[in-house]
Formats: sequence, C-alpha cells, structure tokens
Amino acid sequence: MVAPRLQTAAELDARPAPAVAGQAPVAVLPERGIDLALLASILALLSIGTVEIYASTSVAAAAKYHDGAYFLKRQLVWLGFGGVAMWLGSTFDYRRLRRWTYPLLIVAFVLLGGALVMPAINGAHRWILLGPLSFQPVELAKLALVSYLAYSLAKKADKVKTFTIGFVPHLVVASAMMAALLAQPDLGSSIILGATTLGMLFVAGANISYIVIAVLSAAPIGYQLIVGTPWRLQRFMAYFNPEAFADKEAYQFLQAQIAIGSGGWSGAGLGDGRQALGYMPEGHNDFILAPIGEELGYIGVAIVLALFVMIVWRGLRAALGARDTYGGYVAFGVTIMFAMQALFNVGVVLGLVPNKGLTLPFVSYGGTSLIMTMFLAGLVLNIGRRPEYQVHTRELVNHAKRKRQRVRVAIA
Amino acid sequence: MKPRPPKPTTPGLSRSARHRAYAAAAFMTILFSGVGYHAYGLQVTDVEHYRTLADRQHVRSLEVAAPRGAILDRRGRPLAVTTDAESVFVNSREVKDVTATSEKLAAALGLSQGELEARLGSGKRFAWVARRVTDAQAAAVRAAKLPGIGVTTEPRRSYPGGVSGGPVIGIADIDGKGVDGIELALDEALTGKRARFTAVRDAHGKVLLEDGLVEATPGATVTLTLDRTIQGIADAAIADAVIKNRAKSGVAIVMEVGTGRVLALASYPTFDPNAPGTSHTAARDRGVTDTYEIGSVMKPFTVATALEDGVTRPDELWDVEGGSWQVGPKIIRDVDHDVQLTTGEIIKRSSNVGAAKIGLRLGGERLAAGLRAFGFGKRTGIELPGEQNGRVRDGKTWREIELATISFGYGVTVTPLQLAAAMGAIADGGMYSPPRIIERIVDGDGKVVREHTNEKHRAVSARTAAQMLPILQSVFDKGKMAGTAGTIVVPGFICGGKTGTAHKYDPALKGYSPDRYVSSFAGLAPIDHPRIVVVAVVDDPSGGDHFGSKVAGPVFARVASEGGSLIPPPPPGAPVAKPAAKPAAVDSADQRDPAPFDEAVPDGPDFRGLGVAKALDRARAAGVRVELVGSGRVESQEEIVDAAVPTYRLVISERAPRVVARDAAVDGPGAP
Repeated sequence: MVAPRLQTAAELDARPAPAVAGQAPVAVLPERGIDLALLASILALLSIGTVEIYASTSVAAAAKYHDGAYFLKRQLVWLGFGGVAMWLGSTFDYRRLRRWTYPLLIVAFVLLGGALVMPAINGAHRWILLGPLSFQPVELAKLALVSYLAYSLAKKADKVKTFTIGFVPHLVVASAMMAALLAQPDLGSSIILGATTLGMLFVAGANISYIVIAVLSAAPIGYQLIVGTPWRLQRFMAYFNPEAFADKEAYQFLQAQIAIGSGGWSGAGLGDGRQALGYMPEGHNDFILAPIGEELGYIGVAIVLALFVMIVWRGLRAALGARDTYGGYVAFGVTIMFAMQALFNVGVVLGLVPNKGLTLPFVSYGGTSLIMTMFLAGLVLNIGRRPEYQVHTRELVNHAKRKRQRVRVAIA
Repeated sequence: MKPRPPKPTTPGLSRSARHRAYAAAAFMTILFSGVGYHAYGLQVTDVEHYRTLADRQHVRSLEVAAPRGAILDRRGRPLAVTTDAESVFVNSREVKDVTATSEKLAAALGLSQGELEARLGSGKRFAWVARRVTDAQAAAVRAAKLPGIGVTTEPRRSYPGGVSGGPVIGIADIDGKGVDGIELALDEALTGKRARFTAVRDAHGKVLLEDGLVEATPGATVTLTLDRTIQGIADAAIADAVIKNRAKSGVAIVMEVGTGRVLALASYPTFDPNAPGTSHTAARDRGVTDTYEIGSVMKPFTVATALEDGVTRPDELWDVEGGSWQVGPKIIRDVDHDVQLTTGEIIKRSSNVGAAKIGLRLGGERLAAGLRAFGFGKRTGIELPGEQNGRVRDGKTWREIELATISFGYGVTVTPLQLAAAMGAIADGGMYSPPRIIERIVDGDGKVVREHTNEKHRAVSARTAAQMLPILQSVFDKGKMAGTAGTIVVPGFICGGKTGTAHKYDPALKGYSPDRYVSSFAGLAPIDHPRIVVVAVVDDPSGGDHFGSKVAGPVFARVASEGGSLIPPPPPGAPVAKPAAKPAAVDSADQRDPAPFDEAVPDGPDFRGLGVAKALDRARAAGVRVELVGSGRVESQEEIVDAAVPTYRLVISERAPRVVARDAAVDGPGAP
C-alpha cells in the first residue's frame, strides 16, 4: 500500500471542495496579502493632504493660535486615530459586521434623529456633541447603509431584479436616511448616499429603467429643496453667476478658482501658495484641492485624481475577489462612495457643480470623517485580503450560521 | 447515469454583478478623466487669466519715499536736513471704544476730543490723527497701547539756520517738494529716487515683504559754497541796515575772489523755512532776482574799460566843470564841486561829470562791450531760480546823454550778484569768475555727481586790474580830499570799494525821484591780495541817510571785517581754492571742550555730539543706517536691535554738547 502523498497547499486550494448532497462545489480561494497598491494610494492621498493642510494653514494658524503647526499637529492626531481605525477595519472579521447590520442601521437612525435635536452649529444639526468631542452621525450612517444594502442585496440575490422586493425596500431605507440628512440640512451627504445606493442597486442587477425613474422622481424634490431654501438658492445662483456673489456665497468658490487656476503646470511650489494668506479660510477643509492646485499645479491635481482612479480599480478588485457576496457588495459600495464623494468635492472646487460642503476623502482635514473614511478603507483592504476563515461547503456555512459561531475547518 | 457535477462557481458576486461593477468602475474613471480634463483647461489653458486675478489681489505695488538730501554749507554744516518726525494715525476699523480712545488721545496730544471722535469713527482704514508730534507725545501715544492707533515716522525738513539764508536755501513743502531757492533749483537731485517694488498682500490687507524692503535711493547731499557763519553775519548786517534806515529791502553778497564761490547771499526781508505758512512773498533772493539802476557803483567798470582800451591813464587830469555840466538838454551834477580830478579821483570823489566825460570819450559801443565783459547784461548762471539778466542795451543805439548817464550807472540795470562778480574780476587780476553757489553734489550712492569748477575768463588785463586796485583803495581815503567811503572803517583790513547812491526811477513822475534812493556799496578785501568781494545794496532807505557810504557802507564794513577774517589767505604758491579743506577757526562759541559723557562709550560708531551732517558721514563710513529725531546735535544714540542692517536711532537736540573731532578719519580735516 502506498502511503498517501502529502498535498501542497496550492494543490489543496485549487481543488474544489467536495460537493455535499448535490450542492455545487465551492472553489477554495487562496488568501491574498494586503493590497499594497490600494494601501499605497491611500497613504499617498493622506500624505498629500497632510502636507497641504500644513501649507495652507500655517500662516493663518500662526496668526490665530501663534502656532503655525496648529492644524498639522491636530491632523497628525486624527491620523493616529484613523490609523487605528484602519488597522481595526482591515483585521476584524467583517462578517461580524453583517450580523450587526440591523442594529447598526437602527443606531444610525437614532443618532441621525438625535443630531436633529442637538443645538445647531453654523445653522446645521449635523453633530452629536459629547462634551469636548463632536461626532457626525452621517459617518456611521454611511457604514450602516452600505452594510444594509450589501446584506440585503446578497441575501435577495436574483430577486433584486424585481421591483417590489429588490428595488423598493432599499430605496425606502435609503430615502429615509437621506430625508434625515436633508433635515440637518446636509444635501451633499444625502446625494452621496443616494448615488451610492443607486450604484449598488445597479451592480446588483436592478433594472436600469428603475434607476432612471428613481433619479427623475428625485428631481422635483431637488428643485423644491433648492428653490424653497433661500441659502441653497443663493448658493445655486452663485454657481451660475459667481462674480455677483463674490463677497458671500461664491467667495470660497472664486478664491478656489483663483488658487487652482494660477497653479499652472507645476504650481507655485510647496508652501509658496499665496491664497493661504487668509484668502481661503476653508483651504484645509472642503477646498483642500485648491491649495494643492496652487502649490503643486496641474501635476498635483492630476496625481490626486489618478490616485482616486487607482482606489476605484483596486476597490473593484477587492469586491470581485471577495469570498462572499456580502463582502463584495460592501467593498464595492465603499469604493463607489469614496469615488462619488471625491468627484463631487473636486467638481465643487473646479466649479463644475454647486457648493455641497463635502470633504475630499483622505485629503481634507481630519475629524470623525477622516477616522470613518480610514475605517472604511481598512474594511476594503480586509475584504480584498480574503480573510483566513475558510468555510468550504454550503453545508458548513449553514452549520456555522445555525450555531452562530465561527467554524474553522481544515481542508479534508 | 451519474449526473454531471455542476461547474464550480467562485463565491461572492455573481457573474452579471461583476460585469456591472466593471461598467461602474469604468464610468467612474470616465468621470474622473472629465474632471481632470476640466482641471487642465483651468490650470494650464487659462493660467494667465487666473494669475492676473491672483496678482490683482495678492500683489501690491509699494513706494517708499526717498529721504530728501541734505543741504550743507561749505564746511558740511547743515542748512537743510531731513529728520524723522513721528505722526499718529488711526485705523478706525480697529478702534474698540471710540470715546475712551479719543479721551486718551486728546490728553496725550492736546487735541479736541470731539474732533478726534469724528476722526476715529470715520470707518476709514487710515487717517492721520496728528502729524509730526513731539517725541514725548509719540511716546505717550505708544505707551497707551490703544487698539487701532499707530505711530509712524514721517520725514520732516528742518532748517537749522532758521531765517539765516532762508530765501537762498528756500523751502520744501509738506510733501517734500522744493518750492523755492536751492530746494527748488535742485529739487530733482534732492528728491532722490523712490523705491518702487511689489509686495504680497494678505486677505486682511496686511503687506508682507517676501523679498525684504527695497531701499529708496536717498536724495543727493548738496554742499553749497555758502558759509553758514558768513551768511549769518551778512544776514544780520543787512537786516540791521534795512531796519535802521527804514528801507524797503536789502541785499548783501559775499563772494570768494578767484573762484566765484558765493559765501553769503543775504536778502532782507527773509523768512524762516521752519515755519511754513508764514507769508514770504517779499522774501526772495534779491541778489539774483532783482535788478537795480545802481548808479555810481558802476563807475569803476567805466573807468576800467577806458583804461583797458587805453583811452585814458589813471593820472590823467579831467576838467569836471565844478560839478555841473550840460550834456544835450540835461545837466549832470556832482555832489561835490571839484574843478579838476584825475581819472582815479573821479572814482574816489564819485564824479558824475568825470565819468560821463570818460564814457563819451570811450563811445557807446566800446563802453557796452566793456560792461558786457564784466558780465553785465546777461545771467551769471548761478544755480538759483529766477535769476535776472539785467539790461545793457546795444551800445550803437545810445544817444549822447544815455552814454553819459550809463557811464555813471543810470540807464543800465544790474543784479547785485553781477556787481559782485564784476568786482571779483577786478580783484582777481582781471579774471572774471562766474558766481556759483553749489560746491558739490553727492548722490545717494555716495558718488560725486557734480563739483564746483571755476571756468573763469579774462574781463580786463591784469595791468588794468592792478591800476584799479589803488583807485578803489583811495575811495577810503580820509582828509580834505576824502574818498566817498572815507567815513567807513573796516577793522582789520585795508579795503577797496565804491559807493553808490542812485535816485530811484519813479514811474509816477516818469523820471528819477528826487528823494528816493538805492544805496549801495561794492568792495573787496584785503586790498593787497583780495580774498573776498562784498556787495551791499539797500533799497529805498527813508531813515534820513541815503548815501551809499552811510547806508550800505556799514554793511560792507561789518561783513568784510567779520567775514574776511574767516577766509584764510591762500598758502604761498597754491591756487585759491577749497577753503573748506583747511582747518578754520570758526565761531568761538562752538569751540568748547567735548563734554564728558557719563555713559560708557557704545560699541560701534559713536555719534554723540556730532552734527547731523557729521553723523550721516560717520554712518556712511561705518556702513550703518541712522534714523534721526529732532534737530541740532546728537544727544543720545540707541541701536535698533531687530533691524536687518545695523541701525541706530539718534536723538538730536539743540542742547547737546558739541564734540570736537574724536575720529579724524571720519570727521575729515574740515571739521571745525
């Protein structure tokens, strides 16, 4: 009798798991390492952002706080927290998140409601204040919505194509969340969540005509929102006629145009931008691309855009390579959300869309938004890694689900 | 038959979801590309448009006014200097409490509170509160530390000489623009070059100098040939004469013989350029701007021309007709009733008849040519505004009576300066030196851009000049046949000269007024080697005396005696030049010992006790900058620590003790 030959890991991995009771066998996929290209893109954006935050705030900070590195120091602290969040996001078992989808969704709605009863800051109820800390529930809402959609779309599988089961419930949840955001008011985040929802429904197989109908039916609501809200109308008018609003609504926008437009190919050089001399109070925040354009020129802007394109494709890779449908949808949803937010932000700075008040992911100055962004990025890295918990057959999957416990099974 | 096992599927997204995900990613990529394309248009295609917009808000052109150059006398003593005065301004947008601020300012500056409140509440970013306040007031305002209130320095022109030399030096207006005298004539050089440069402006309007401050080129330092001491003597003498004789105005001129340097150019009335706003319409450089029918003072030039042309000798006897001689329809009269006079005695006794006869023998053309050779009838070219030609008409057109009167100084007009220059030609062996008042101009970079040069030319021969000197000396003779200046005593000098007492032309009478005169005196000292020429003219004396010897003579005596002693004799063999280069004993009041300073001698240059000009020289030599506050001499100095170039703030006071040269290398040999 010949002794059984020990199989190599590769051979084991390539072998389909045995089919159980007529089920289709599930291929075993090898674990991947952390996606270094994605990680590098994220780190590059964080670095550009941090450097430009320093460059664009040092003068104003020195005047106001007598410390040119005031914002830099704070950004580094945020980055510290963000790094922890990213590490957590990339290492924990994201499937636990799936189990927590509904509690998360409920907590998100509660917090969004809570923010509305909190005192307004700058006329908006966007923050939950906990002593010295403030927290924007919209950040949690983003995670909750993506997780919910991923969970639901993965579960419903082919039924997604149906209007009543696959389309309407998702839109209802998303619309409720968007309505809560509009009440803050936060039109920008609301649009991002709506666009992410439609993107995920599209990928899941929703009928394109439904999506078109959804967009068209949102148009009158958008019109009502703009015309019915004086400041939003002002912003909107300012978009079409910036010069007339140069001192007020369009000030930031015009100054951003001047900053970015005067950059030329290679820019004024790091730290040599003149718009930082008090012309752009929000230069480190929503308008971070303006100092980038001014100091690093078109090359700088192009690099930032290219890095986002890189994130899109590496995020897509993570989504496609995910071990389970839920993970795939989460990775795709997060990726598309990053891309949407970046596009809107850049569009605002370049004057392509009216001002929305959205940060540029990874690049804009810190806050809870940066921490959540980095956590979500960690999650994409996590999903792309194909975590080591390998469940080989549907039976075992079902078993694990029943027991509500993690099962670790060696290859038989 | 065993069913064929289903094809293995990968977990995760379904096949169609993958396709749609790719499509979504591609769509995103297209959007990013579109955004990138738009950014290209903005940043690369339209870059010039946005750079223009950016520059419009970032770049501010600045101008730094150049400090106006100093005007110094020939020994480097200041006649006009620019010092820093402090002015208080307000940025009314930063004023927190208008009432309280006004109250404090009113107390510090002694202004009305109501007016201040209006100014502080104006809403303007900049308004003057008080200009050119005293140091103490500025310090009080600084100490109060009022928000929105600032103190800055403004240049202030000050004239240490005060009324002395006022009309010559002139005045610069509040904006530092010359409006009169040397200040006007050399305005361009004195003004210097403003520094124009661009600086970056921040959003709050604050200007940031990224490349440092560009220094303005300071105005040139103008050294005049004037001697402050002699000018002072001349000013005092002519003022005394005008006041004593109740005259309208007067001129006294001191010129150096052989160089044409004007040592003093005094006019009365004068004005104090330190007190702008006082009317000084009557105060002008009458020595160059006014012409006179000067009378007998012109006789020496008639005689010199006759001697030069060989038509007479100094000892030729002339029949002067007992002092009354008819020429054509008119009778020429003398003061005295001499019967016979030599050519020399005609000048000594100032005989009009004699002069007329000499003139008639010369003929109009030759006399006119002679007068022109002495520089009459055309501008001397002195560097002062408003110089007059004087009038010497073409000799061919003179009628007999005109020729006769012109011979003794009626019918021609001259400026006192022309007279001084002509007398200078006789004093210098016949060489005419055009009068000049600028010794040297040193531009802001320390380069000498102009230096006094004497382009003298021959007016009459040395022999004629030599013949004239004893004649001029004889005018001072006393005794029975006394000269017209026999009463004049010039202590310390034997002089030569000529008096003049001319009837003024009265337009109302269409003739010469019987009782209104121009009294004058032109002379030189000392007679053997003349060093200075002094001309004094007193217009319209009404105090009883009107003879040149009585009215203008004392001015000559005083100026020649006191001023002449200040002009050293030239060393043997050396040309008469550069008296400034030799040590000179000057006003003894200033010859005090250096006051002992209690403080330690500071590091670096020590400016204490120096005059403004010396301090500036020393600063230039030491390569440091100075800020001057006040006027007079340096009382204390203080190094400004955070300046880019070593800078000292010098507090200047009239009370500061003078310090005799401690540092010869810097002070130079001309230091008094």
